[in-house]
Amino acid sequence: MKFFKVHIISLYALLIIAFSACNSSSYKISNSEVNYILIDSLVGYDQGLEDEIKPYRDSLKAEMLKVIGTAAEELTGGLPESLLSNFVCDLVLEESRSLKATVNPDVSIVNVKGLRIPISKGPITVESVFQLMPFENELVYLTLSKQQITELFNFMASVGGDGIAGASFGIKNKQAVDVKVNGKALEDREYVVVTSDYLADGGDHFTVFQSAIAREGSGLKVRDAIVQHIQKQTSANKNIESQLDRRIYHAD
Amino acid sequence: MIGGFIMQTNRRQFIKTAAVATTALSVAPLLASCEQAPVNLTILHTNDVHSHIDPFPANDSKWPLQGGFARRAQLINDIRREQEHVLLFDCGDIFQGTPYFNIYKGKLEIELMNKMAYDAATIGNHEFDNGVAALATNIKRAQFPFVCSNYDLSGSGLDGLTIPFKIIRKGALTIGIIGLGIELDGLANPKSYEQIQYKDPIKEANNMAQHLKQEQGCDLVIALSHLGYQYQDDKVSDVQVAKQTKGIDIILGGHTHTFMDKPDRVINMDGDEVIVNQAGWGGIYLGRLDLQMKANNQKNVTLVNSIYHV
Repeated sequence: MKFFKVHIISLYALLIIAFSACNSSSYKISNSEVNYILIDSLVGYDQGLEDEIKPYRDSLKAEMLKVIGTAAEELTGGLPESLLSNFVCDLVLEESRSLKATVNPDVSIVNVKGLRIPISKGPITVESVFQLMPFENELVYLTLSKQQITELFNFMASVGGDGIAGASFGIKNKQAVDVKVNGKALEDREYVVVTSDYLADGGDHFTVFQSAIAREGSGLKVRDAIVQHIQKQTSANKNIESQLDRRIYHAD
Repeated sequence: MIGGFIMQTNRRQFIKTAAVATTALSVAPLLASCEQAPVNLTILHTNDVHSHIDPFPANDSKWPLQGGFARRAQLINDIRREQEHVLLFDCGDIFQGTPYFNIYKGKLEIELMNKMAYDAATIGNHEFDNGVAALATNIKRAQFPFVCSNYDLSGSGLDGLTIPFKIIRKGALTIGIIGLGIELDGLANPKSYEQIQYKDPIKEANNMAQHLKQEQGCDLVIALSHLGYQYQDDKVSDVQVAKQTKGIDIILGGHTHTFMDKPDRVINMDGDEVIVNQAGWGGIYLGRLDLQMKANNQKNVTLVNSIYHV
């Protein structure tokens, strides 16, 4: 009996040892070393891949150099309002209004800091629009209360103004005064603001957007809105222009 | 565990122990016939390359003239020449960031990754930027699999185009790959991911890792993740997945564009170490992990001892 028991145990041991020794699942990491290899000119390059890329690069360059419109004047950014931010905010409001039957935004906001270069007088290339708006930001609709709209404009007043369309206000003691939306004083209702997802997420200190009552994506990127608007103007034989209309002004 | 032998004080048990030990010794020559030499494995990884086909422009404020696909390909060629077992992965956000994507819709990125012979990739949120149909076209174009373990794609345009795990054999090693996608709500246009159901990455990763380790006999489980390295709040991240699961050995990450000086080593639910790594973004760096894999002899001792108590 005693012998039998030992025998069984031995058999088990043999089987288990044999199995675990030859089993493929018995490897473990015994040592690991990590490197981050900087990919710079010292690496050299793969000629085959380079040959594959070149026709795309050449054709992309040609695409980027395409002229999509003409600017009648130079549009530059600045505060409290600017030709550049007024142009972009006006077109954002217009393009986003024709996007959805159910959503009709009252106000558009695009931060002037996000418009990276001026639009030069003369031909406008695809590339220049990529330089103006290198970010992949999408337009989103935010529903804000009257109180939140007031908070929003007060914030914009406190930083000396920014890009806006559909509304106007003066800046007095860093507060927004004589606020108007679509030419009318604020009413006790909800307002829809169209802006970039970057600002909607609280970027550039637009934190009030984070507590919006509702948020809906548009599927349209800011850059694509700019490109399609310029193309429409060109089709209608219009040059690109903008004006300063005291939508934000110093009331001190 | 060896302590189990020493603690046996009564004589009868000692005899049994000795008998087992003798038997174990007598099979030693058998073991020699299937002796396992250490295996070296090199894992290369990229994340958030964001369509940076060409090196960054000379006037870039941070990465002038760095990165580029043709250079990365050369580097990978060199490493493959030097090392026997090399794996190459991408952890998502292959797309979006340069006009190459806007104009060619991802075709060039995938074709070049085919040329570089990527072994697998996972899906990042920006992969959805042109909608599900465009992503489906790109996945079909890829000669490497998109591994995705926590999106339920049934009924969507991606149904059947991704795989929940992949098993790769390199020498004597069996390596299991899983893919973890981020919650798309708020990150991608809802229209572009409708019908895709996000499942808890921690739960899915844990189940998949157990399956790969226990049923598929994997020596190593690697998660390709686009969850992000870690966050201030409780949001699910690579570090959270590492802590709250068992069986995952390595998490290669993305999404947070994290440049690391060294990988994070996080202790999992089993008390084992998980390597968590990420390689910045834009294809500026290639992440490289060199592993030495040794046969785990500790297991034999454990099993002999546990049998003794039967």
